[in-house]
Amino acid sequence: MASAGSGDEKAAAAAMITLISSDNEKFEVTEATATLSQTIRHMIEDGCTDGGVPLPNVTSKILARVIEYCKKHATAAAGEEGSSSSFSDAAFLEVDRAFLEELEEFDDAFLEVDRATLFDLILAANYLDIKGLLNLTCQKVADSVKGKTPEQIREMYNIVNDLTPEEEAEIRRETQWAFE
Amino acid sequence: MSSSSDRRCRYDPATGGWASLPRDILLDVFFKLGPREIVLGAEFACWAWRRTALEEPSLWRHIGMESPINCWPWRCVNRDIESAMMSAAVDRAAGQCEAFKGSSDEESLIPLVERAPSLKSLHIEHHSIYWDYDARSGEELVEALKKLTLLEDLQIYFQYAIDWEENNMLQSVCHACPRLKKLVMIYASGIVLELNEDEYCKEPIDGEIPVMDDLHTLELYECDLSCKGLNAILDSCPALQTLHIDGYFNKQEMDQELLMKCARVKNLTLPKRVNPQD
Repeated sequence: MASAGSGDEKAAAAAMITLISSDNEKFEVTEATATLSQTIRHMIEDGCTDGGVPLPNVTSKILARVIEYCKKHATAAAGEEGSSSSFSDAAFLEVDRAFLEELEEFDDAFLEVDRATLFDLILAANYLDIKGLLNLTCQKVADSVKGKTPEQIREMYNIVNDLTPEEEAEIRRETQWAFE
Repeated sequence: MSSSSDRRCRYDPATGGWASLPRDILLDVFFKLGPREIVLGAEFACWAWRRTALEEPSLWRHIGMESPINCWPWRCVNRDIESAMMSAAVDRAAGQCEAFKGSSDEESLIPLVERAPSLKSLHIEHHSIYWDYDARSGEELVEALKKLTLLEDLQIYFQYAIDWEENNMLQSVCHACPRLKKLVMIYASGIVLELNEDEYCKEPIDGEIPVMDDLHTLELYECDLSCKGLNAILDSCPALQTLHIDGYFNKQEMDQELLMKCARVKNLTLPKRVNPQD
């Protein structure tokens, strides 16, 4: 990273960053993986990653999952770029589709988690500013809420109905459709 | 509102869980859910979720735009309830509503457009509040459309017959909305009016229409097209790329000039059947 030049691109891609979870576990990841997080990307740009990046809001359990996601998506992104010059258009499209299918399968499997983990993944994706992961996890929540009654949603997500009786009465007046 | 800060304290962030989801994230989830799902479930889960639904006008810019395929069978509500829901949603948009899809009638349409003056897209199943089968003038509909100066995409599915001896609905709609880019008019069919096909007349498309500079798509269903009507459409819509007309038409009556004009329209479908009463 110290010297600039045409040959350094590969070196930059292979540069390693250390991420430190809230419970002090260290994770070594490539810069390509780490920079899927805009938050970490900005830290690297500002040169504040020496000695590791402390992430006080993310536990080791969640950070491991987040890194798993970033590794997969960073590889996919690199694969797409690399393949574009060495294949004909048709072959490239074929490779492209295979990548996308594999990514989709990975994402589906990745989301097979309990609701507490999903919640922590959302907060981590938000804090680390990883657009793809945030989008994926929010979509999972939206899909699970679709077609459910308020009571089913509360049960599913452990939400306490904190509306006062007066508020409930007011809501019933304004929105009678939900109670018929 | 004064209690709003105390209310947030009801949740301990450590244990508050899903009810304490940061607002931006909950909004993201709500955007993915769409207005219909929010008003039928999510917004009643707790106080924080309800506030988020009520206080973000941009959530309500596109109302009723979900496809019916996504409609859960036990969520198919009757038209009055659907209207009440959609009306509440329009109010929450605070004038920012850009797209509306739903039912309307002579009484509900004007209040709707007054509360949603920025509509760019309007898809309505238009009913009549009167119970007899007499044809309607559609005057209220045209008055309402005149207020929507930004409207680009209009689709009307008429649930009543139009009194075409007094009124040419296509002409009136074009006058009311000269900036339209896409117009779809589905006139009432025998099925809607509970009549046999030979007992009702399809909507005649036979007159002049005003110049529609921006119109690229025109679809008319259940109508009785004449060469004069087709000529008027082709002359008045210079940007037309798609023209789909369904109903009756006698192709044999087209002259060379009209055929040439038709050739300029990229996607053209004309009715294949000749009116049996001709």
